[in-house]
This record gives sequence, C-alpha cells and structure tokens, in this order.
Amino acid sequence: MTPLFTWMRAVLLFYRGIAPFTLGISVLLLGVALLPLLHEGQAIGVLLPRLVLLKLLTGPVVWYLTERTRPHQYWFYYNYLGMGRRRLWAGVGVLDTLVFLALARAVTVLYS
Amino acid sequence: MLQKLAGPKATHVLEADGIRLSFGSREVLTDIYLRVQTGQIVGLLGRNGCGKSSLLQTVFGARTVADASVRVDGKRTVPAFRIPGLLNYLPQVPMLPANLSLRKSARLLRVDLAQATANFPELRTHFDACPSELSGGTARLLQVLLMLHARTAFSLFDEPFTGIMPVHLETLAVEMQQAKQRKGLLLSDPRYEEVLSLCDVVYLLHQGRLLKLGPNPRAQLRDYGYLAS
Repeated sequence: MTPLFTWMRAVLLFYRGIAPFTLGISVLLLGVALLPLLHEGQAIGVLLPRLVLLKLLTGPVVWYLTERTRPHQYWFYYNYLGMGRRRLWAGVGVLDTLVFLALARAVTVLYS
Repeated sequence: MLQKLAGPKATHVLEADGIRLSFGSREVLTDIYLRVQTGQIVGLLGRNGCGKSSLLQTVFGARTVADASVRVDGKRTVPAFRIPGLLNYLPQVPMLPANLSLRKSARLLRVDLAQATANFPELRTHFDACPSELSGGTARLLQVLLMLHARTAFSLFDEPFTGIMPVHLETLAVEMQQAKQRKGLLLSDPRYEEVLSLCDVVYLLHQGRLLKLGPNPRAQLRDYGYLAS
C-alpha cells in the first residue's frame, strides 16, 4: 500500500465523518445562491468562481463545528500513519471542493 | 524505518525532558525527565489534573510544547508520532472511528486482529461490529490490544484499564508482559495496585515534577499524599 493511497483512504474516512456538515453547506449554497442566479439567466462560467470562493469561506465554519462536536476524532489518524490535522484537512479541502464542483455541474445540467 | 525500530531484537530508549507546561498561571509540568526502554513497562502515577495526560500527549507529539525534547536512542524525534513504527498512543477517550468496524480499523492500523485477541476468544464475535455497538469495557480492551499488538517500538497508554473487568485485566497484564519483550510500554492509570504490580519502573508526577519511585513505592506514595494509608 503506497503512502499516497493510504493517505487518500484516510482522507476519505475522515471526510465520511464530516460529510454531514460539508455536504449540508454545499446543498445550501447551491439551493440558495446558484439556483436563483441560474433562474435569472446568468452563466455558470461566471458564477462558479464566486461560488467556489463562497464555499471555501465556509471552511472555518465546518472546522469549528467539527472541533466542537468531535474534538477527539484525530487520535485514530495520529496512530494511523502518523497523520496530523493539517494533512487531513488539506485533503478534505481538495476533496470537498471537487465534490462541490461536481454537484454544481449536476445542478446546472439538470436545470438546463 | 518500521523494521529498524520495531524489529524483534531491537532495543531502543525513549527519553523526554525539557517539558514545561502551564495552564494560565498554574504550572503543570516543570521538571520532567522520563525514560522508557524496550523490555520495560513504565508506570506514571499522579493526582487527577496533575498533567499525566498532557505529558503523554507531549511525548507522543500531539501536543506542541516549546523546548520539549523527545529523543529515541539519543536522536531528537519531535513530533514523534510522525515517525513510522516509532510509537502509538491510546488516549483516555475512544480512539477508533465510530462508523468503522473493528476488522477494518485493525487493518488500517496494520494489526492482525485474530492474533491480537488470541487470548480473548470471546472478542472474536465483535470483529465486524463498530465501536459504538460494544460495551465500554469491551471497546476499551480491544483498543488496548490493537495498540499493544501494533508494530511500534513504544506504546503509550492513558488509563488503559478503565472499564475492563478483573478477569480480563489479569490476562491483559500477561499480554503486556509479553509485549514488553519487543517494545517499551508507558502507561498511566489511577488503578495504582495494577500499575505497581505490573510496572518495572514507576514515576510519580507531583507538583509538576516527575519523581522516580524507589524499591518501596507505597511508602513514597503515602509521603507525597497520593495514598492515604
């Protein structure tokens, strides 16, 4: 098992635990921000960078919520490949942004 | 690195000093020198809130303390948890992901679950259960066994005996004695009877200082007010 593969598995496992927060925010952003703007006829190419920025700005909220609700979640990852918080959250940031982009694309296709 | 550190014939020394920690104006850790080596079970006693968990977490590397020096065989290793095969740590709180079966958790931690539970056959029925489906004592025992059987040179345990029933404690003590042949163990637990009978070396954390107890630890524990009688 390569370190990269193991890291990806760890990030996926960690992401499963915080997905209710991150996906909830994604759905909220797409429903409240993207859909009305698409309805007004704005192009997705213009909207997407702003939406991604908005999504990234919600990162600290997700981090705060998970720290409050699951403060002990890191111990397993410390023991599993010596993986600290920064490496986990870096992976989650990339993964969650990709998931958000995929959801935004799906909404656009369904709407058009 | 893992082979080198956790090999069957390897002997290693883990040392920690220079650890100073304060919470507000209260100095918790001031004068610390801790030493654990392969073949030893080292106990850490102290009153509630005296900093035992903080000390273990600092040695592990999860708690960042300026000027803390953690060395293995004389080489500085901070944070220690990043070094593959060096050490693992069982915190007081549940460690395993709640939504992952024990079998999968063990695989990720690279532990042979069947081998780890060989002396506890009743645990085999729980392999596909998630930690949230187990009793507190059973979950604790399984976590201790996973840490104990992981291929690391050192294992750190914070209150490993909490919730574990006496008959299992006896078997667990035998397991720890066997495990120390290949690694060094550092544990902290309020069950001082178990700690004193199991450990080769016992430290008392008292008013920020780490004191190595001598051949009559009970008398010293009374002197320092840890035991009443």
